[in-house]
Amino acid sequence: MRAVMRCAQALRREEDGQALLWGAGVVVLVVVLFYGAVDIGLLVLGKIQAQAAADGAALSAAALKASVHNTRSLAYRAQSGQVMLARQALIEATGLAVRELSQPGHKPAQFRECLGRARGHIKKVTLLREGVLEFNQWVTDAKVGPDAVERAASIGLKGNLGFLAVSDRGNQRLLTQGGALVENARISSAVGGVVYGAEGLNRNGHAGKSLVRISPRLNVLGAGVFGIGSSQELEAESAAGPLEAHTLWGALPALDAYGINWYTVRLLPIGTTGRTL
Amino acid sequence: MNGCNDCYDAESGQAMVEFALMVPLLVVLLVGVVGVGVALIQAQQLSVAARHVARQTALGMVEQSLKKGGAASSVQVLASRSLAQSGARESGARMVGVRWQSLGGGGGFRAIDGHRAALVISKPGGISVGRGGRRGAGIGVLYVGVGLEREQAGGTRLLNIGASAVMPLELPLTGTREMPGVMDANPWIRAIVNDKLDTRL
Repeated sequence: MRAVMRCAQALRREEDGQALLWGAGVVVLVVVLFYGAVDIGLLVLGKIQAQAAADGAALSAAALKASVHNTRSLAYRAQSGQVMLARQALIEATGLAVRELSQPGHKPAQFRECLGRARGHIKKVTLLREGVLEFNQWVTDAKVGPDAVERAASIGLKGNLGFLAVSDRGNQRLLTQGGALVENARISSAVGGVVYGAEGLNRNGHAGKSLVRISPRLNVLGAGVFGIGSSQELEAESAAGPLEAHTLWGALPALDAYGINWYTVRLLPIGTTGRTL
Repeated sequence: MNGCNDCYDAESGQAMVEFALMVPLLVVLLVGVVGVGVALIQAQQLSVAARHVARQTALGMVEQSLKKGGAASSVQVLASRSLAQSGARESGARMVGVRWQSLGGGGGFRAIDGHRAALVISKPGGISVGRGGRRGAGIGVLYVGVGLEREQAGGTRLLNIGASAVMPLELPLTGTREMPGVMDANPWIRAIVNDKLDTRL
């Protein structure tokens, strides 16, 4: 009986299956590490893609605003050109009139032709002015400007979302959510060194800078498997604005020939007074 | 007692057998982790390279149109040059077109070619130009897109990883037949001024 008891005690101390338990533990650890590594990778990539999408959206919105500026610049330049031509024709006509006083009957047809030319140029100035007013009225409409900016920004966003576009379909509609495309808000952030909300340029979404704040969702792998929650929210913000091309590029012979103030776009720092990116 | 000692002897090497069983599983998991990691890194490298090439191409187009004249007809050349500078070509990246239709954008958004698309929003009814009636007016954005893909080592297309990036830029002053410029989006200005414009921009 004593021998049997001793044998039973020995059996209790056996290490049968110990390696299996260790193995199971290691497998669980490796699986957790695997999912963790994939998730960390996905989160890092997601963060980069989110920033790229915010940059793309902000640049796109600013590029649309630049085209508003550039259309106006072109129309204003055309107006001043026509004014210059009208003045030139009038000076010519005045010269002919002075000569007419000293030598009566001298080339009256040429005098009339100069006056006609001046009238034609003045008429064009009037038409251009009316056109600019009509253009401004359209683009500063409370709906047209913001809608146009949002459409442009949405394309910039979708194009740069990368795998975030398929990770969560709702990410493609980020800009339609309130507050993602900050156009008219009075916020305290400094954009490009100036307090954004105090600029007064962003009244209707057709001018000024654009600030994009997005929170795309990323469906991660491991967190879902372990029931922690399959979706993580990432955050990114970016600002861009139309800037005068000469300040960025220096001498621009192609534009200088026309004397046009041309605007191009750049990303702008947020919350600092640093230079443009 | 001796019987029990025999039992202990019979189990020697059990850990080794169990370890041998576990090794293939661990190797598979390790290879999986490394494989997924490499794929993610490659995808990210391609994505970053695509964004870089698209951005450099967009900047190149602006610089070219502002400084040298002659618009974006050489977008393919600009993109190829940017790809070469990025170093992605050495790792086997190849440039492919961008699927613009997936970006939507509604009316006014159209693909110009494999690398360019434009959004032009027109004023309904255009702008009055006196007795000449009404002419079109609008605003817009140009987009430059670049898609890259890479074949795996060995020449076999084991895994294709594609990436695309879209970078916007402002419309040039005058465009080409395919690509709109500010003047093309606003023919009302040309209709009034009625002067021949230099198309270098």
